[in-house]
Amino acid sequence: MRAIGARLLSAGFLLCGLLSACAVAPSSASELHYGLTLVPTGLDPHVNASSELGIPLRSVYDTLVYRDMQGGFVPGLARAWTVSTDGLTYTFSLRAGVEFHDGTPFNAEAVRTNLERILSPDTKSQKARFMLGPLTTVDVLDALTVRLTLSESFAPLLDSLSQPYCAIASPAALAQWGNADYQFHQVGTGPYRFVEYVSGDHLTLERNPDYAWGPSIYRNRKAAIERIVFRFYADAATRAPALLSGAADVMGELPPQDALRFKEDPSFQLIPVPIPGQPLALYLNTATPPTDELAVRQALLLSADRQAIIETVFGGLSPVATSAISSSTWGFVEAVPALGDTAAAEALLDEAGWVRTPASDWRTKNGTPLTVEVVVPPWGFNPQVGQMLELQWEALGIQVNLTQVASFAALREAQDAGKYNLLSINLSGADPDLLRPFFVRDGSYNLSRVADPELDSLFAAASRATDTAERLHLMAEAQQRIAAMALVLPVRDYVNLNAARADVEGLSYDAQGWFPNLIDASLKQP
Amino acid sequence: MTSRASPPRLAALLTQPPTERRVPWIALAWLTVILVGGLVSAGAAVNLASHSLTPPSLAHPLGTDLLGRDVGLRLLAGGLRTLRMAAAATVIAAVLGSLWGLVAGHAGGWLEWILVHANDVLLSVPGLVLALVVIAALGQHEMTIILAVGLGGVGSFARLARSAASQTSHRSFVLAARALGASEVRLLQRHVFPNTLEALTAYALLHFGWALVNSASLTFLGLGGAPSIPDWGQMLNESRLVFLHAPWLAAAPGTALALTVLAVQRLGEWISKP
Amino acid sequence: MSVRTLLRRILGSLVTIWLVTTLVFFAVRLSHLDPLAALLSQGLASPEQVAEMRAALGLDRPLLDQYFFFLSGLPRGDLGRSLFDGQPVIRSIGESLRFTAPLALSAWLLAIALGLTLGAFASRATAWETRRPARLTARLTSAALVLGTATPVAWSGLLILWAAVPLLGKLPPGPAREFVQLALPTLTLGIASGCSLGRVAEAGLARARREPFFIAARARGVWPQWRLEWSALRTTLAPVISLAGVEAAFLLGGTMVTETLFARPGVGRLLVESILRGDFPLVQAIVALAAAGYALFNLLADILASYLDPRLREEAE
Repeated sequence: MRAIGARLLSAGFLLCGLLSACAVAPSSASELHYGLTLVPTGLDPHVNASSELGIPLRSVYDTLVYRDMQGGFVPGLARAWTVSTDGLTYTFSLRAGVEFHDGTPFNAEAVRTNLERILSPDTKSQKARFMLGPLTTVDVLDALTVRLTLSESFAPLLDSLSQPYCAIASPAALAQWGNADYQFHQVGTGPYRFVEYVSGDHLTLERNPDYAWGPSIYRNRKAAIERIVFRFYADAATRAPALLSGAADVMGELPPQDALRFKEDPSFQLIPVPIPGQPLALYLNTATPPTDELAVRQALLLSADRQAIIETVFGGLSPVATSAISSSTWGFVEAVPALGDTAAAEALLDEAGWVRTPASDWRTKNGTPLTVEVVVPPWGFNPQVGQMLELQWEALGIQVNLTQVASFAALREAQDAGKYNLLSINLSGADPDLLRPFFVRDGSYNLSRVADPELDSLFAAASRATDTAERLHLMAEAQQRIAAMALVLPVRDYVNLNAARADVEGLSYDAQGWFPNLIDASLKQP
Repeated sequence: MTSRASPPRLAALLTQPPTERRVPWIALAWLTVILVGGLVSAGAAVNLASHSLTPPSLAHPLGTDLLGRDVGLRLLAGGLRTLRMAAAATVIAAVLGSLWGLVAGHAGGWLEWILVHANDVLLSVPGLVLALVVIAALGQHEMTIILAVGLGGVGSFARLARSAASQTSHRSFVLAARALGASEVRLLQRHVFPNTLEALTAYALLHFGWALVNSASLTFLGLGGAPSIPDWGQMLNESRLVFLHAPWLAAAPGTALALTVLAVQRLGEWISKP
Repeated sequence: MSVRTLLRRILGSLVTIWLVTTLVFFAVRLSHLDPLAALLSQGLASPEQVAEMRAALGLDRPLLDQYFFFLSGLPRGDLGRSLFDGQPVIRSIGESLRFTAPLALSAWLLAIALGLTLGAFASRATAWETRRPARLTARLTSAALVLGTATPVAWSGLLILWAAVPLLGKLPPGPAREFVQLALPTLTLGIASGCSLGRVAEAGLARARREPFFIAARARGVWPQWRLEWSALRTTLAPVISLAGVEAAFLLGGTMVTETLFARPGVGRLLVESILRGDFPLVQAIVALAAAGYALFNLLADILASYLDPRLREEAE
């Protein structure tokens, strides 16, 4: 009996010991748990395209330049730079005394290796290559000077060079690991070191104690938090519980209903970050009836009650979108009025010949009912927005067929088939040049099927303009023209609803909106 | 067995095994409610109420969803669409599968060998996976879901039809009819098929439950294509976004699916008893 | 089961898997989905650049050429590369199998254990010697089994998730939390599958109870009752095990739904995503894997059944 008792007791102690070992202490002053959303298909910044990978990698690497919140550029790894008057040559003078995490020195040769890696077809870059546009050659002029040559003028180049996708990695590490494995052994110059990445499970960063060359947009000289562990929460429904339970200290892309709860809770803080780029918007097809008529397009825009949609679906946490780009994007001007006018919409339709008849629920013209085909993707509450628009338009006598596609590839298929009247797509980016493929004649995203010479020339000129004021002017004109032609129905500006525990201080996001400046974050000591 | 006095009626009901001859009134009633309710409420489901995400109340017995629509009305309208998809898929599976199996079982010889092995290839892939492959090939909307679930079920029908047909084909009246000069097609039509009909019908009802669950799973995965026309699998998917705030949004379609499958199974059991 | 039968079964399975892979290869290429669409998602790749990539991946060659190219890679163990991220297909599947294999295996074992236990208990409802209270609970168990087979996995998964959220809330990240997160989809699938197995076991055992050997043993006072049930179960075990092989099909389909529901990066979810993206090499490989796994499960189940029940061995000869 006694032997059994003793065994039970020791088993009990063992169990307690095991349990306490299992119970990992919640974040101490030195560890932060950050919740990411999508599991990226790959984590190599030069190769892969998702915005998730930029969130940790922004702090693992430095870039040549950084974008400030006013839209200008400040020095990063490049101390200074000059642009030739024809816009074809960029010369960067690099900072001295910068070291990669593996101890190798940063120099012009490193910049060339990196940019050539991005440009090389063997790398199969999915985003970075295209961000560099017409860049053709990179020349090393001396140890700390590098020259980039373009085949034509390309205004968004500095913006591209400021993003983690064009970051500078250690050439030694790139050579050692090769294209397939580098993503698991990344080496940069940033305020955090890459420790490990277990695909689909977690990513760990550790503070770089030797960091001394941060740009002016960083408040701290060195990082305050010692370790940051990123975990993936692909299912939106699991994000709020993870934050509530303390499994995560920071969480991004919360659904609006959950975000409202964190706003009210004093032990949490809601950090809404407007994301520059396109708002959630639907593009109107000018090649397919009935949206080939300007009056119909204008009526659709005027009768959409976007404020109601934002209140119901997004909890009032976004501003109404009023242009083809969102209000936080550099170059934004208000072009589409925020408030609708249903009476004006009805008048427009009547004048155009689409009249209500007692025989049918829908307006008709020459016997054809007014029907629009709407195509939406499944993410970002697009289906709910589509359903609300359907209800609003049906009240006007417009029949709506709403179709939801299940993936981006299927959305592309619908775009190519061309049978839609409205299609919803949106990209993010800090440079308004991202609109170009949407509105030029042969653009790969010409969803509106426009072939307008004025828009073509406006976008072409804006892409080449090196003078900031001229670019702003051209983009403003482009947005006004888009609104006048009623090519886009903008619904809401995208706001990334991040939430964090109240003791996380100093967390701020960069000019692209998605990427946090982790160097500035700290944990308040209890 | 024992010499107790006769037990009270309710206890007797619960402790005695159900006699299969008893008419499944509850199952029939539930199915009628779903069908009739669906027909009646088809238009009303889209009416917009004012308050989104309200819990069940007198005005809205099953609550409202994110856009403020009455969940009960959407449930009834969705039921009709879900049942329609499952029924169409079952018909496809039954017709194609029975034809395949009947020909195989009746023909015998090398034709049977080919058809049976082709069927084995089809059966070697789980039904839902096969349905997904069909959707990958043909696109993502309601029609392809029906086709996909239908094709996914052909294999098991074929197997059943073949064993039933090969049993019937060897019976003396078929041999006699053949000796009298009837063509193979006529034999199939007049003799083999009617005798396998009962087994096939019973299985069809069982299969309907399977088709129901699988087409709901596919719309749950987002492959249905028409978000404003409600469907139970789709409603289940939409409810995940706001699950913590509004669990009733998931309870309604989930419970309705389970109860409908139960009712269909019960009906199948009742019909299949001679 | 003799070695010859076994070899014939294995050969047959290999041929089947090859046929399935060929069918799927051509079927998915019917689709209009463009797997390179993701490249255009940044709006910056020009159509010429995408055409370059398409040629580099061999996507513009005739279908038969692509098929033979694919076949030529098989002896090397090269199943191709994902069109979406360029990773070898084997690597992506291997990584996601790490998440799915424990889930599928534990769910299968749970289903068998649950099915046998609950089925045995439920079969007492029709036994002549069960007392009234026990009979009532047995009837309820039987009804629960029926309800369990009718409930779709998506719904029961949501219920389990909802019940588990408070528990997950109390656990900090670590092995305990990982265990609970694995247990949730396992429970969902195991319960769903266990209910169908349970009904078969219940029917089998209810029949066995009417056998003379059972009645005689009870009359002689063999106690406890479960001992007798277990020996009776052995006679009915064979159909249950065979059904367990078929349930593997259900499990494979079920992992797609539960992995999407619980956001676990496993093979089921990978299949759904690859289909949505039009990532043909991954779809082919996973379907082939599913067919192979299914064949393996069935083979194991049949071997086990014939081992347990000698009556089946003659059939196999």
